[in-house]
Formats: sequence, C-alpha cells, structure tokens
Amino acid sequence: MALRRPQLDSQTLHQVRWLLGGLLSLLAAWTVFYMAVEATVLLAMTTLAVPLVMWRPVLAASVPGWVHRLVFPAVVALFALDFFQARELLPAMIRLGLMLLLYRSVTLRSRREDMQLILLSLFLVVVAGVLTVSMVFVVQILLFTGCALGLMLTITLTDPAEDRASTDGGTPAWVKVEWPRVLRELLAVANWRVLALAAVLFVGVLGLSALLFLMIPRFEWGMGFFLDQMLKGKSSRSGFSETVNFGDVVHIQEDRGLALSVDVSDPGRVPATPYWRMLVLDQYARGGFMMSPGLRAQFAKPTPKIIQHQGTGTRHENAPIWTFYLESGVSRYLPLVGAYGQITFASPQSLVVNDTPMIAALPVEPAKMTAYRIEGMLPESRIEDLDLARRLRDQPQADIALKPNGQTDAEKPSGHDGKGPPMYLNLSVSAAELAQLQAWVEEIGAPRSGEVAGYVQRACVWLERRHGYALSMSLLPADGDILVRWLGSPEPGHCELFAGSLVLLCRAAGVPARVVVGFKGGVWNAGSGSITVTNANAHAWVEVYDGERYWLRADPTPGAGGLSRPGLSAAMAAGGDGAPLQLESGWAARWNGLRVFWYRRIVSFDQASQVEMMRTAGHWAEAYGKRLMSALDRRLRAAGEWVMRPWSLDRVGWAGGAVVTVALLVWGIRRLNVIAWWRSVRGVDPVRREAGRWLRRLAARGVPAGEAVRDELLRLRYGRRSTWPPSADVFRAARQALKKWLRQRPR
Amino acid sequence: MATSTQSMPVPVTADWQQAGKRSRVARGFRWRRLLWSLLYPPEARAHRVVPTLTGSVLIGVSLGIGLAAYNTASNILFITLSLLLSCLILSGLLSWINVRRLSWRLQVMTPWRAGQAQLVTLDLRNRKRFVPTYSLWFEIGLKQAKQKTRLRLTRRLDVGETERLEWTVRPVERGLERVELAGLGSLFPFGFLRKTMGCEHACEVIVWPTPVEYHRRTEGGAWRMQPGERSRRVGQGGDLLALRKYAAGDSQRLVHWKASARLRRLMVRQFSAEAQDGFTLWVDLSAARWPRPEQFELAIRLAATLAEDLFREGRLVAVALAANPVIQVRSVGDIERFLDQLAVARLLPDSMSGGGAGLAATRFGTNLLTLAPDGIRGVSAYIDGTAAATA
Repeated sequence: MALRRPQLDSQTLHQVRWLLGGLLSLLAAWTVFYMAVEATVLLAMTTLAVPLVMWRPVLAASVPGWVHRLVFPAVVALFALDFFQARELLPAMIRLGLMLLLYRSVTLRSRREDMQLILLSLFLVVVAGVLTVSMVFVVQILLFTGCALGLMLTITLTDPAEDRASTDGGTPAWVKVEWPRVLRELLAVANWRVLALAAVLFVGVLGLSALLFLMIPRFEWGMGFFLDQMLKGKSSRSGFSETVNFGDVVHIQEDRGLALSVDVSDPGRVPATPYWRMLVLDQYARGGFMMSPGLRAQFAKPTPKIIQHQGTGTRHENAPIWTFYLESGVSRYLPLVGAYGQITFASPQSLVVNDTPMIAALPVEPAKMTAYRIEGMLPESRIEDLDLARRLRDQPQADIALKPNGQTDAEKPSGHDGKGPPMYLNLSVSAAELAQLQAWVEEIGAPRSGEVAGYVQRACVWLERRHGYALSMSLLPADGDILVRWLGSPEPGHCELFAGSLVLLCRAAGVPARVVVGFKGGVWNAGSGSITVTNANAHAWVEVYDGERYWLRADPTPGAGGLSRPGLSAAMAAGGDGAPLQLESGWAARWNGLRVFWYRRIVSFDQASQVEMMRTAGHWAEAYGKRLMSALDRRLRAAGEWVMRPWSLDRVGWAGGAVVTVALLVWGIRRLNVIAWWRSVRGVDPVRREAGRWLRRLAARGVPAGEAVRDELLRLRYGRRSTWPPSADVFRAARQALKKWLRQRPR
Repeated sequence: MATSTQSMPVPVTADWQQAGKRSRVARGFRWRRLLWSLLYPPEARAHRVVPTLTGSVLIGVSLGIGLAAYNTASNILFITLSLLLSCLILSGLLSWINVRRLSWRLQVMTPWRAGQAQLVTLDLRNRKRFVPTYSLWFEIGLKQAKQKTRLRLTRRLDVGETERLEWTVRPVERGLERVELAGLGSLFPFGFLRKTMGCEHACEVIVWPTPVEYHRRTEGGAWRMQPGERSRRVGQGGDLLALRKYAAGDSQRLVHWKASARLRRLMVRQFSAEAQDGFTLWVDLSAARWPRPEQFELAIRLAATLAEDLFREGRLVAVALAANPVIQVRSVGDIERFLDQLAVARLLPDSMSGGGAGLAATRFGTNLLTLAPDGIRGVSAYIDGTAAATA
C-alpha cells in the first residue's frame, strides 16, 4: 500500500497562519519608508516587536486583558492628537493604520481580526504605491498578494470550531511553537504537484491581472482629487527651489539616484551634453542666489487643471517629441531644454509658467513621479528675451549706473507692490568689493560696446586659469562677500562658485547675467531607448544677455567650454545629428531601463495607449488572417489544379494509395481501440506505472532474475491492490538492488 | 419489560455520485428549460457561488478602488483593481477544481429504531489525477425528522484516496425516513466565495417503533401454559419436528449439517412448539378504536415490543395489521416485515381496518392478542379478551 502523505494538524496550521500574518504586517509597515510620512517611532516599534512576537507567539498570548480594553480609546486619542497637531489627514491616517497594524500583529487574532490585518496592509501598500508611483510597488503588491492569499488559505483550512476554541478563552496550545518542527512538517507535506500548480496559478493570476489591466476600459472623469494632494512632498533632495545656497548643488551631486528619464522620439537631435534648465535665479545675496520678487512677479497665475498647455516660444515643427519622467523629490520646476510648443500631462495638472525666462513649474512639489510630454522643443543654448532688449533700449546703458549696493536705478522696486523688474544687474556687494570686481573686469578686459560674447569667454578662461574644480571649498570663514573672497583666492571650487563668480564679473562689467540651475548631461540607456539623468548631473551655469535679443548660455566650470556656440540649435533644428550621448551600462542601466518601461508602459498607460494597443492587435489579427486565408487559398488552388490535370496511372496509384492508407489508419485505430488503450495508459495508477518503470530499468541493466524485489515489483505492477506490499519500501529496495548490481557486475 | 430483536444490520448504500454529473433521468430538450436554467440553475446540480462577508468586503474594496482609479486615472489603482479581480477569478477556478471529480456515497446501516442512535456515513473519493481536495462540508439531513447537520472534511483528501465522514443521528419517530444529502459547500480556497452545489442523493430507511416498557398481567391466566403438551406446530421447542430447506433469515444454528451434506443443499431443523401457547397478534388500526393519537403511537410501540418478545420466546404464531394479509412468523425476516408495516402504520377509516375484535376472533381463532386503549393514556393487550399486558 502506498504511503500516505502526512497531514498538517490544526496547531501547525495556526502556526503557519500566525507566521504569514506577521510577514504581511512587516511588509505593509515597511512601505511607509517610501512615503514622506514621519512615523519613525512606530516603524521602529513595528520592526522590533512584530518579528519578536512572530517568533514567540506565547508573548502575544500573555498580553493582559486590560490592555485590549484600553487599546481602542488610546488609538483614537492618539489619532485625534496627531491630526490636531499636524493638520494633515493622510499622514495621520497612515500613522493610525500603522498603530492598528502593530496592535493586530502582536496580539492573538481570530478570523475576523486576520481580515482586518489584511485590509490594513492593503491600505498601506496601495497608499504607498499611489504616493510613490515607484516600481517597488510591483514587488510590494506581489509579495502582499502571495502572503495575503496564503493567509486566507490557511484561514479556510483551519476548522472554524477549533478557531473559536483557540481564541475564546485561555492560552491556545499552538502558541508553544517549535519552528524547526513546523518547517519539517511543511517540507514533509510539500508535494511537487501542488507546488507546481500553485506556481502556475500564481503566474496565471499575474497574467490575468496584466490582461485585465490592459483591457479594463479607460475613461477619465478628471476630478483631480487625490491622495498625493493630501500629502506634502518629500523634502527636496535637489535644493532646486527659489533659493540656492552655495553647496546645495554639490549636495545634490552626492546623491546618485535617478532624477529624470527622458524619452526622445529622435535621439539624434540630442546633443552630447544637454542642459536641462529648471530654474533661473537673478538676485544675489551673500551665500547664494535666489529668485527676486520681480522675477517671481513675471510668473502667470496658476492655470486651472489642464492636460495641455501651449508655450509661447518658437515652435519647431520638425522637433522631436520629448517625454519626461521626473522623479519625486527633485523639484516642482520642470526640466526643459529650450522653448517649447506644447506641454501635455498624463493627468490634469495646474501649471505655473514664466514665458520670459522659459520656466514652467507645478504649484507644489509633487510627491510622486510626474510625467509630461513636450512637443516643438529643440535643445537651445540661447533664450530669446525681447522684453529686456526693449527695456535696455528705453533706458540707455549709461543710465543703468551701478550703485555701491549694487542695485541699479532701473531695478529699484517700483509700484505699489514694491516689485520691480528682475535683478539681472544686482550685485549686493560693498563699495570696496565693487572696486575689486571692477579691477578684475579691467584685468579680464572690459567689454567694448556689444562685445558681450568675447568678454564672457575671456572671463571663463580667466576663472579657469585662477581656480581648479573641486566638490568642496576650503575658504576660511571671514567677513566680506564669499564670492569676492573666493575670486581673490587661488582655492578650487564647484560649479556654483564658478557660475556665481561669472555672474558678478558680468554684472560688474554692466552685462546682465543670471544663474541657471538644473542638470547637465545624461547617459543613453540602450535597453529602454531613453536618456537617464541622475542627481549627480545637477549643475549650475550662467546665462548672459547679449544686449540685443538673446540670453546666451555660458558654463564657466572648468572643462565645460565656456560660452556655448549659438549656432548649434539652428543646426539641430535643421535635422543635423548632434554628438551621441554616452552609453549607460551595468546593473544600474538595466534597473533604470526597467524603471522607464514601468513609467512608459504601465504608469503612463491611458485611454490613447489602450486604443493604440487595440488598433495594433486588430491590424495584427487582420494581417495574420489575410496571410492564413491566402495560404489556404493557395493550397486549395494547388489541390484543384492537381485534380484537374490529366490523370495518369501513377497519379491514380498515388491517390488510391493515399485513400487506402487513410482508411487503414482509421480502421486500425478503431479496430485496435487505440484511443481506449491510450486512455488506459494515461489513467494507470501511478504506483503501477512506477513499478513498470523499475521493471524496465532492471531489465535494461541486466539485473539477474530471481530477485525478490522483482516479484514485489511485479505484484505492484499487475497484482491486486489488496496484496500490495508498501510501495515506497519496494522502490527503495529496487534502487538498492540496482546500485548493488552496478557495483558488483564485471566491468 | 422491553427488549428488541437483534437482527443483523444491513447496509443501505446509494450509488456513487460525482460533482457535476447530470441526473440519469433523461428529460427532453426544451428551449424554455434551457433559458430558465441559465437564469436560475436547477437546484439539484447547480453550482451556486455567493460572496461571503470576506468576499463582500473584497468586492466593496474593489469597487472603491475602481472608483478611485477612474476618478484619478491612476494606473497603480488599476493594477490593484486588476489583482483583486484576478484573485476573485482564481478563487472561483480553484473552488471549481476542488470539487471536480469528487465522488460521494451515502451509506446507512439498517434497521433503524426510533429514539436510538444510528450511524449515517458519507464516503468521499477524490478521483482527480493531480490535485487534492480540501475543506468541504456536506449538508445532510433527515427529511421527516427535520434534522440537519453539516459534515466537514477537515483533512486533505489526496488523489485517489477515500475518506469517511460519519453522522450519528437519533430519529425520534417511526416511519419512512429519507436521509438526504442536500448539497455540498466550500469556502476553499480563500474564503471569498461560498460555493454550494445541490446533490440528488438520498437513502430511504424505515424507522421501527421504539420499544416500550410494559407490564405483563398474570392474574387473569392469559399467559398460562399447559405443561407437557406438545404440538405438531412448528415452534421453538426441543423436539425435532421435520427438516426443511434453508430460507433467508434462518438462524445458522438451525442448519442440519449432516442432512445438508447428504442432500447437497442447506437444510434446517424444525422443532415442535413447547405447548399450545402460540399467539396471533392483530393490531386494529381503525380510527374509531384509537381516538387519541398518542395512544395509537403507544399501541404501535407496544405491538412491536410484544411481537419481538413473543417471537424470541417462540410463542408468536402469526401477526396481522388491520386488513393486511396475515404473516405466519417463521423467521426473523417475518418479524422484520411486520415491524416494517408497523413503522408506517397509520390510522384507517373503519371500513378499511378489517373489522373489530369480534371479527378478528372469527378470523384468527383462539389465542388472539389484541390491543385496546386503557384509560386516557395507557394501552392494554388482551388475549382472547383477557387483559394480558399494559403499557
């Protein structure tokens, strides 16, 4: 008689259920790490307490009864206090969920409480996914699904009567757990068929989910109320805000994380070193640059929630389409490479735009990845500004006299709101420092009338000759302007110091200049066909006004080449290939490629994608159907032609032979009852089949007849079931007999 | 005194039935029936799937997530929604696989006797090739007694294995009882859906009356025997009267082995009765005789008890119920037949009850044992009109 597989008893099922519940709690709790929610204490408590109680469930059974009675009012009070203090509903709810999860994880649970645990976990996982739009969500939801289904399966398998008995009163017996024994029992019960079926079903669930995801009809209500608006964004890693202090950009460069991924419809239009402009800073204050009130005032009011926004810049008709995936925590300012024709968002967005310096921003920093598509944009090294040209024309250069405080007459705040124009000539240095700056201007060679580009190039060379590049600056603290002091020293510096110094040198020479921050460069990910820009690409550079029409990009950081050639964008617009980007390689490239796939195909999947997919599937089916029909038609026509040809004796013989063969085949199948035989072979008992296999094996290896094991195998193969010896013993004996024979036989 | 006949238990077994198999009763095809069955599947073989509380919560959560997904066009929520729906579909699929090729068979051991514990067994067999069956319950009940229970399969039923579930039942009333397997159900695998399936599966059992305590009256001399008298009548005495062929139900102790060997067929011995004290038990079922139902029930119980006791003592010659043909009591089978009739006996109109006691005396002669009400609750047995026992 075949050995029976052992069964898991009720206690072991309870222990497995407890283990799965603990794992689910940990998984759900750790998703809070990915959210911008302050819950360090709760997370630490969960991380410590849950594994401990999971390992020793007897601890959960020893929680006194009064604790259970106090928990609910205590949790409600803590939630109310939290909400009252933070005034943010979603973070308070997440912390509430975490508290309840912790409580449920460290106390004994009935079926209903297990379901509460699953729902709480689902809440945390989904909220984390929605808030982060991270690819990690896929891993989290898959693990959650596996754990939750396993937990519900064990709940179903546990006898409800025993379940009630275990939670009603006293300490249930199963809390005294020996995990090695549980593991051994699980291994003993494991059966490859069931495991294979489980794996197939899990893969089937994933496939079905993917299919449902693609097929669920999409339409947008565009209500726009959502969780991410109930949560403040993470503290910006980039520091790309309206105020950038020296060292902020270097701080960003130390972060190697992904900042943005860019899909370009024509990668040949991307230069080798693209500059992704995000923010323009005009006002200098000691220690950094900021956006002046005048520049801020140029921003239009936030638009209502829109999908598309038309830019006012020159629209390049043959420009590629750019799709940006901006990671959360970078900035609310959108990276751009030049003037754009149209910007399209994946979901309705409010937008704040300043068309003069070509800046676009979201009203608040997004807590999740932001995707937007830009059309009619080419990488440009110059930005048109006719307004400044008009102002300069209206107010001759001589009138823009530099004052000791560095503020020109033209930049004095005016009007009832105290906001003037942007402060592109602002210096904010003392008279002595101004004199020093002007001395350096003379040393560089002050610009003659209209000779801005030459002066900027000379200034860049001058800076590069005096200072090296370093990520840190070792200037000792002292009185006076930091940039002037650095200019006077031989110390090396980072991009912000070079950019700030060039701005001061230009302004001291009467040339309007401003600092631009964003990203420089990026690498080409061949796997995903996109550009990867990391935070290490953060950079600061300068734009100087040529006095007539354009702001020209100048990058004074050593090795960057100084002033950019203005003709490049014209060449790119004409379709000329830019120099290729560097290729991204290694595991990071694969991961970033996967991430772009996630953003491109999953996160950005919308109604248009669905329609496109259906259309593609329809075209494919149509083409395949046509091919099939034409092939069938060809065959039929060929057969018809063959029949219509004059019949010869050979052909009659062939045709007759074919008919007779088919008839014999059919007759043979019916006569010999092949189908019944096949069914009987397939339906034979597995023990009999295994015995037959062993008999064939022994015969093939020439094991001498007469072995007792052969008789037992024959009995298993053909004998009545009631006379069977234990099959496992017989097969073991057969294996030993074969081994023994193989060892002893003459070579 | 009240004892019962120790007859051999006989299993009553229904055929194996398999999930999803159609009834053998062929019914003509009708479009109307087909359309109705699509809307409302026949109870007997319908697979019904109803969401449980957990399933309702899951559906509610899915609806909420779907609403939020459409509201915000968030693909994260669409992914979650797809996974939840897939889990529901997987749950239905596994639930179907779980009961697929599962066979069951009801078995009851007869005879049943009202008020005594009886065993109903349900054999399960997993005929699947790869997948075990888990966590099922069977709704089983007694139709007349309106008793129901839920038999649970808590163990895993591996491929090709058989499991037996048992239900101890105590029928309260005599009569024709029907043990019905109303359906099977399962929450497997995740508890989202309650799958139920009707079963056309039943066994019919006759429940004999409960033995009753009664008192034999000796003062009237009704039970008196004539010592030394012998009779040519067949009975349980010590003298060998004749040999006859073996009949089903004869005791093995009566087999005459030498004669059987000689004649090459089983022969049993027949003994003469000890004395002329054999009785004929006749039960009057007329409604006029038994105006109170509880007294009638008591009479039936007393009749059953007396019949069994007298048979054991070898003093029962024949039994009859109302106008039914007389049963000559020769073997256990005869007494069991009478008990079967008693089990389903109902009050009859006077015209169908076979006449009164006077007519019965004419029909059966002397030593006639009859029953009649005794007061408002009791029942007495009379031998030729003399009170012989009271219950």
